[in-house]
Amino acid sequence: MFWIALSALIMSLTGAGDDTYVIRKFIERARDAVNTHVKDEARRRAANGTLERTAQAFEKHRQRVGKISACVERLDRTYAAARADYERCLVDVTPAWDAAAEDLIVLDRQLNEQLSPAERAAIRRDAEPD
Amino acid sequence: MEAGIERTLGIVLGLALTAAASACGGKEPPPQLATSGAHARAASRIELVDLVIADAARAARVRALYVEIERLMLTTKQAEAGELRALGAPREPRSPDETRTLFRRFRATEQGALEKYVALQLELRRATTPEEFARLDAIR
Repeated sequence: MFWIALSALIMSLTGAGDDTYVIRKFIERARDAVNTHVKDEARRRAANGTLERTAQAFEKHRQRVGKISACVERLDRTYAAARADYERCLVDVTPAWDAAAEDLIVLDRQLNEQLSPAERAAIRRDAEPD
Repeated sequence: MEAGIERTLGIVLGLALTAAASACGGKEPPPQLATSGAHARAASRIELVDLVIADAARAARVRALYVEIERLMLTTKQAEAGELRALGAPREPRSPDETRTLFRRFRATEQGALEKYVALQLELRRATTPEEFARLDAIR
């Protein structure tokens, strides 16, 4: 469900995307679609909660990657910077991406559990860009 | 010729990225990948090295290092675009292992480029004096 938003997130990080507009739009449209297609209140609330946590996970990853980049930039501006300094900056690259993958796996599974196949298909149709 | 075009494209892209970063809102640029920031910084300096370093041999060495950084980052961005296409493909259901593999590939591309980049950055320090380095750093 979240692959379009994930592409947009990474595009924003590579400088190729238009900030986080596509991600925010996707989550907003998914929320509207959940409210339209999920009639059961408890499941609707749960699905909206999952979407909210997804938005938070994307933002958390974005900030975490941004910190690595800022750290590298700071060293690039420091003549005395040594390999060990750069290595300290890069120590979070693997954990950050691994954590993002695990977050997305869990959130995607949760949303799967909260929606019927028909609801899921309808929400995806409504949420993805035209 | 091809290298010249690549370099020009890199400079344009670098400047566009820098402009986009500063246009997007206020005091701090939006978060980005370390390779994206590094690419933008190197691209803006290539043509200006001669204005900062008087010694022709060292200037050529420093320019070559910036060109190498730019090539590395261009290759990295191309590879990441491929990984991005794979990640964004709306294939469902996608197994957890498949998701992990796709993320791992993207991360390995980024990390591999950064490891090479660090070596080039350290080489850059060996080829410049602290004063020259500071003047190059002042170029935005």
